[in-house]
Amino acid sequence: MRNERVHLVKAGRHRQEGLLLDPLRRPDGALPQPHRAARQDITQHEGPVGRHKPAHVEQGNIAIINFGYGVSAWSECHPGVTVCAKALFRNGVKVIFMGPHYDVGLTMARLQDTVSEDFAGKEYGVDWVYLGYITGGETAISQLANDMRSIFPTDAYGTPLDDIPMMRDVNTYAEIDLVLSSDTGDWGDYFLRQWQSTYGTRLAEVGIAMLASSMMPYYLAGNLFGLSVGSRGGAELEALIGEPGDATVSMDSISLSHILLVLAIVLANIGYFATRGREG
Amino acid sequence: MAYPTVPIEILGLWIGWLYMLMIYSYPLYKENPAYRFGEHSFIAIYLAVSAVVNITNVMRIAITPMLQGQWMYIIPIILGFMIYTLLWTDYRWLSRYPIAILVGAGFGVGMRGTIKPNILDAIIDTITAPIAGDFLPWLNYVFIGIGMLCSILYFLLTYEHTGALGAPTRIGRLFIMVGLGAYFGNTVLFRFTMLTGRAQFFLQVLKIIPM
Repeated sequence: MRNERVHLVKAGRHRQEGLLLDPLRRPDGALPQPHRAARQDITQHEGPVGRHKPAHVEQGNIAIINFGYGVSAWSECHPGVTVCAKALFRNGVKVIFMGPHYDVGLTMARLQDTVSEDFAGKEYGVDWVYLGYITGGETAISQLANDMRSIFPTDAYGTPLDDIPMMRDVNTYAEIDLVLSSDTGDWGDYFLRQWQSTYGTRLAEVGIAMLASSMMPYYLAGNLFGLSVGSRGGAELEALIGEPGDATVSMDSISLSHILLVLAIVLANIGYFATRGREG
Repeated sequence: MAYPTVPIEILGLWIGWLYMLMIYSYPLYKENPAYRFGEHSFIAIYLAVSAVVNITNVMRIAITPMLQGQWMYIIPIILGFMIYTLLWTDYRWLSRYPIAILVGAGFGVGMRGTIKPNILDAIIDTITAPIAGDFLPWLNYVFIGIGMLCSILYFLLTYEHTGALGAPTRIGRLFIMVGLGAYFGNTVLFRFTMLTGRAQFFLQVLKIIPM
């Protein structure tokens, strides 16, 4: 109890010093952190409602991770994708990476950095493959379900898919066990309509906070077996695997900025209601 | 990710840091030459990268397979080039064909998967009563049911929103406002996270926090 108080006093002191930047410098978790949860195996998640397909994965399963975000949204999407990639690799799942942004190469390199320990034990072409840039929107995602080689004749490095051991028998949705799309835009919807809805492929979304309102109905209806929203979702996932990372570090700063925002909204409303009568 | 040690990578890091300050100089100060330089550089680099990525992609997906004997790929390549006839007034009509194919295919493919998740599953989820007998799931169920019905009634424009329709449409408007407010709130959350990401980068380059 005493330690907790000392912790809070220290936190209060450095809030005054640096306001929003300081929590980044010394993230101490003194602010309320709703993302904290008991450590769990996220690959054994059952979902809150009986309608969900379980997220169980088995060794040898093949997953697609779609980087539907660019460098600008790394702080929002990347922590969640990092945790999911770790969890998939540690459960022996083979992963196909791709993305519809021009800077997808940078995001792939970033993931290899943030998940470096897990990548170190994996062999390219056997345990994972990077297909690179995809364009063409929903029609391309639809075609990807039926003939991957027509969208990706080669991987991002120019190797024909037939020459990649992991991809030899993979060409349609039938060989893919789950898709994880991380988006700032519509690519998760494309997978939802063209893979999940049409063929029943298990789909999860690691989206920016703006997607929370539009994706939650799909999650509740069982279309998505998992949904992580923004950096808070990333921090929750980090807590679940017991490995705090970038999202956990940024949570104090984000929480504090939100408290300021809520105060601004409350003050603005008080001002509005206080002056409304006078103007009328 | 560790702080780079190779000089060229350190230089890249500092250039990125300076560009970030140039761009932020617009909201923090006012439009100035440094901001314009940063903005123009960004657009130029973005266009250059997009040109390289797209040309490489067309080579990989269409031109290389065509040269290897899959001659059917000549059709999408010609259709692609037809879009550029927009640049010549006399031949502009030719661009309508590839655009029509794109729009038609987009609608057709999109419609195929829309009905189940957006209509059927959404209705089933909304009308299915909770399995457990707990208070909160039932409260949620009733709340969503009332919200959905009132929100739909709000868009019933055939009748004037008075009398029996007065109260439900007013409640519906409130639900829509709450929904839009939540959407806007999440948008703000996203922007703050981006700002936090930049603040992290700012401190990391200065070695105040670890990279």
